[in-house]
Amino acid sequence: MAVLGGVALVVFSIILFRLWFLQVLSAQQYVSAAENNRLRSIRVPALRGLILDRRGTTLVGNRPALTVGLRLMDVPNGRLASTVDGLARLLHTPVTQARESLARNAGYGLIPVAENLSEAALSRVRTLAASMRHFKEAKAALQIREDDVGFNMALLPEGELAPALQALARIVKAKPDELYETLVRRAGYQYDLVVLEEDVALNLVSQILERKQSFPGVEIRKDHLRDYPQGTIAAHLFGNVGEVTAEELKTKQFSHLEQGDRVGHAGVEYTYDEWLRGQDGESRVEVDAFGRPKRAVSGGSLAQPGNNLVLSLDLKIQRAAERALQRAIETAHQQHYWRANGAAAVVMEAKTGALVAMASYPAYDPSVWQTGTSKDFQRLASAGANYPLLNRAIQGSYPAASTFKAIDAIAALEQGVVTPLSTFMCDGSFEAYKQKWTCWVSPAGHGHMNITHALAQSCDVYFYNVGLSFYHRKGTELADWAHRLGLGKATGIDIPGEAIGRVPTPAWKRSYYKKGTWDYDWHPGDSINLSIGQGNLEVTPLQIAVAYAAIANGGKIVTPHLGLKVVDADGRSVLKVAAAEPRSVDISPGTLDVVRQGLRMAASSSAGTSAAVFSGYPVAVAGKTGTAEWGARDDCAWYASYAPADNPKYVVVVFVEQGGHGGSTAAPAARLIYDALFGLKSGTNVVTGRTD
Amino acid sequence: MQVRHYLRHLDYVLFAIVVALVSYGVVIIYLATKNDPLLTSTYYLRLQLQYAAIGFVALVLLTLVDYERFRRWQWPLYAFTVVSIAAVFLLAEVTRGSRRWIDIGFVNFQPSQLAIVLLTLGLGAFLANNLDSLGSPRPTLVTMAAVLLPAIMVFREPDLGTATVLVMLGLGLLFFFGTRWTHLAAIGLTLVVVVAVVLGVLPACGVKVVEPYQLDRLTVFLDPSHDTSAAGYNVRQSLIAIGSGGLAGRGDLATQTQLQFLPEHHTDFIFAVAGERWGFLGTAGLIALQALLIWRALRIAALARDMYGSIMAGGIATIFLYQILVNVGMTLGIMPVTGIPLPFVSYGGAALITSLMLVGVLESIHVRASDALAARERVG
Repeated sequence: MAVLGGVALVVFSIILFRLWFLQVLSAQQYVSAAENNRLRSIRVPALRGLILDRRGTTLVGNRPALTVGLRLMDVPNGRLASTVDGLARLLHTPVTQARESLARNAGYGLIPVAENLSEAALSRVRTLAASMRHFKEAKAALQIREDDVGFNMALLPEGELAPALQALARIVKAKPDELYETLVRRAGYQYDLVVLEEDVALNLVSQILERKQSFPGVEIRKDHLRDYPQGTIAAHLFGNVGEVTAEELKTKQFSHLEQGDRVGHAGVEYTYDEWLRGQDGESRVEVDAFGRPKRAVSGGSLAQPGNNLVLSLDLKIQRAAERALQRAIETAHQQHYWRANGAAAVVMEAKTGALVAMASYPAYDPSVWQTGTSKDFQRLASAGANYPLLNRAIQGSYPAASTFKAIDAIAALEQGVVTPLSTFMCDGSFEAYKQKWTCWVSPAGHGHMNITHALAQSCDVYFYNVGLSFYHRKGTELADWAHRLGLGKATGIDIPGEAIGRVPTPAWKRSYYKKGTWDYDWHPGDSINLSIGQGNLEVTPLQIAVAYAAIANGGKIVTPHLGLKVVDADGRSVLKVAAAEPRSVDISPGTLDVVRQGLRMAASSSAGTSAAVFSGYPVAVAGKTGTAEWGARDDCAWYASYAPADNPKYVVVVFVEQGGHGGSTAAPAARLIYDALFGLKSGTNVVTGRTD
Repeated sequence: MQVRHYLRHLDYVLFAIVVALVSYGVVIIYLATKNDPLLTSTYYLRLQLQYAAIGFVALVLLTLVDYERFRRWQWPLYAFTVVSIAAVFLLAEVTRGSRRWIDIGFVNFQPSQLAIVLLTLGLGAFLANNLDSLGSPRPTLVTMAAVLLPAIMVFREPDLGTATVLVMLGLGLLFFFGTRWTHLAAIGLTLVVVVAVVLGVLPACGVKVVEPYQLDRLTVFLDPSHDTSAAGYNVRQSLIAIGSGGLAGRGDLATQTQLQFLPEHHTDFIFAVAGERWGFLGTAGLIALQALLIWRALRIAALARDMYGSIMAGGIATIFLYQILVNVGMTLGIMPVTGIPLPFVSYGGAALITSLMLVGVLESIHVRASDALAARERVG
């Protein structure tokens, strides 16, 4: 008795001592542990700022969107596959597609789905994995680790999940639905909402909610998606918004962000992300042991919506430019250039580099970034659709053709290769080093040409002579002038992804071609081809716009830009986008006068290559046509211009892939754009026949 | 025996302690479960009150019976114990991975719990009938064998906690019988060896005697903070609940309980609920009540009219102490997780009724002890 009494005394003492220790001495630590348990911070995403045109019209906005997802822990075991199938039928999504997208959204990494397989089964799995479709240079999504088999959804090509699970189920003798459930449950966090489908129509959502009993675990979340009220207008410039990727987190721009943050991936959404993004808020909620929110708790912070970005774009002009490109394509087709299916236009303020419009054809609907299926993207990335995602104004590299002659002329005058009074005789062809080149008017000839007339009538022979002179002078004077005027290097436009283009030099040839081949050395033909903007020369329409702006503004190389300013929700200016100070190129006023005169004559004098389009036009336009030979394809049409000619305000460049002649396809499109710029209603005049 | 006489000799202190413990349990069960999803706030409260009512009726009935009557029934009692546990394997359905209950119409009947009462009466009688063999190994061996058979069956249900209670009961009875300490030491040594073999050697040889989850639970208390198993989670949440209670408790802010972080909060971890809600004052109060309970049981063992009563009271005191130690120790992270409820406090009909029946046995012993005392006084 005494013994057990003693034992009892010891037991109760230990318990009391321990209680004292926990509840009196360490209480604070456990109180905070309990608070940690129950309080969760939930990120409240900030509303992204709007993107406006220079007049304040919304180009990119936000719209509420409903997301349908599953909270896995609330889906009864064994019912995941059937729940997904039921929801898919309600949402009119193919069942296999819905299952696959849920699995992808659940999480990535290698997720084991079957364990402890026999050697025989493993070898069958190996055969299956080898037969599965997979991405180039990547491992198959079905992988074996020791005697377990798992899926890595990130490596699985679209549409492969269902057949893979079916085949695997036969090997491991399980039902495909069971394997599917295992995969999703192991990939996803049990308390997170795994997204099944974003942006679901309200009537479908209410159908789901009416039948909530049949879909345990389904939840609806309200999100915001980007909205494009202008449809396809300016689609190439905005870029898309999505979760920051692992690679992006390593870059300087996004290094301070966290996984799950939404950022702009391209276009102005990328460049001005910092201002558009806003600041996410935080709401504190009390959750139960299963992570289910119970009630809001005070504290936390409000989300700060992002600022609005005002672009230099003018919606009216942008729309006109896009319509003009469409018309240009139609015009090309009427002239039997059936293959014309891509085009670009740049409208830029000549003195500042502010872009008033920048268009690329074909266009696409940017909302595809929000709701597009992989099929949509396959189409957008296909040759058949002629790569609509490409922004041809900055990403298309083309031969400059005759638009280069203005640069050629500047170089020739500045280097003293010719004087304004020098003439060359054009009889339709040109011979040098036992080779023959023809002028575009061949078999006719232009006769005696000085530089102004050569520009106005785009005489090839005149510039062949110039090119030959440059060849004899050795060195890289012509290429240097091209570089000085902005070709062969980035323009510095404030959206990522522009092409650099190329100005060929002997050094470039030596680095590009193999030693000992014909192409390794610089030949007279290289200089002669370059002089008319062909050969290895490649430019983007925007680069040509920058070079012509320099002619128009007296030698200033502007930095093209779309961003004008950042304003807050009340319209107060937060930031004025400071375009880089233009770089000045020293061109003598005499040279500029001659070149400007030539360009003006091209659009006005009777023999001018675009006079048919612009003679008598109320605004004095100066511009150069171009007809580019583009490999085995049909010729491409250029028009590079500025107006008014005496005090240039705008530069307009139009380019049409395989559109035929610059004068008949590109120049009329430019005229439509000038109509919009200057508020004219002149309509088009059909120009046919050969021009340059 | 007249009712007046009977009433005069009841141990009212013990009765008051038990009423206090049961009330404490009922209130804390209500507070623990009132916010449980899917059930009405008084669901568990009502059930526990019903069980308490049945238990108190059983208590009173056992008090009225002279425990001496059970002496002749030692083997039938024992046989009934073993058969009823065996019936579990045939009749019971598996709930939450184990078979423990038999549905006998109006109530679910748990033979392993009833076995505690029956073995107390039966083995107590056996030992009391063999007082002249005191010192010989035979009663020790018979008792341990008699305890181990049902204990092993209960262990296979599986219900490890109750199985260990049965073994402890056997040890307690033997101790109060007056078994030599060498015998007890030998039993202790054997148990240590068996545990070592079951937990260590056999798994190493690839023979699975205990389920992995049982092993987890048994060893998690060694280091709860670095354990990610379910058992480790439970103990961690229990420590947080108790610790956060502080001196005076968190009252309605008892989030560990109300937000379901604390698992099994109305059964095995009820002590942690009290700790969070009422703090050190609440838990120390409960411990004090339990200490009083043990003291009262030991006092009855000392006062008992004969060795039968003494042995039974001692055995009962032992298993109450054992259950309190293991359950409270588990919630405090100093004992393994075995799923033993806290006597009188945890929710659960079988355990509550069993505990109250044991108190009935104690009261029965007390009434007769007082009788004998009074008789002696009259003679004297």
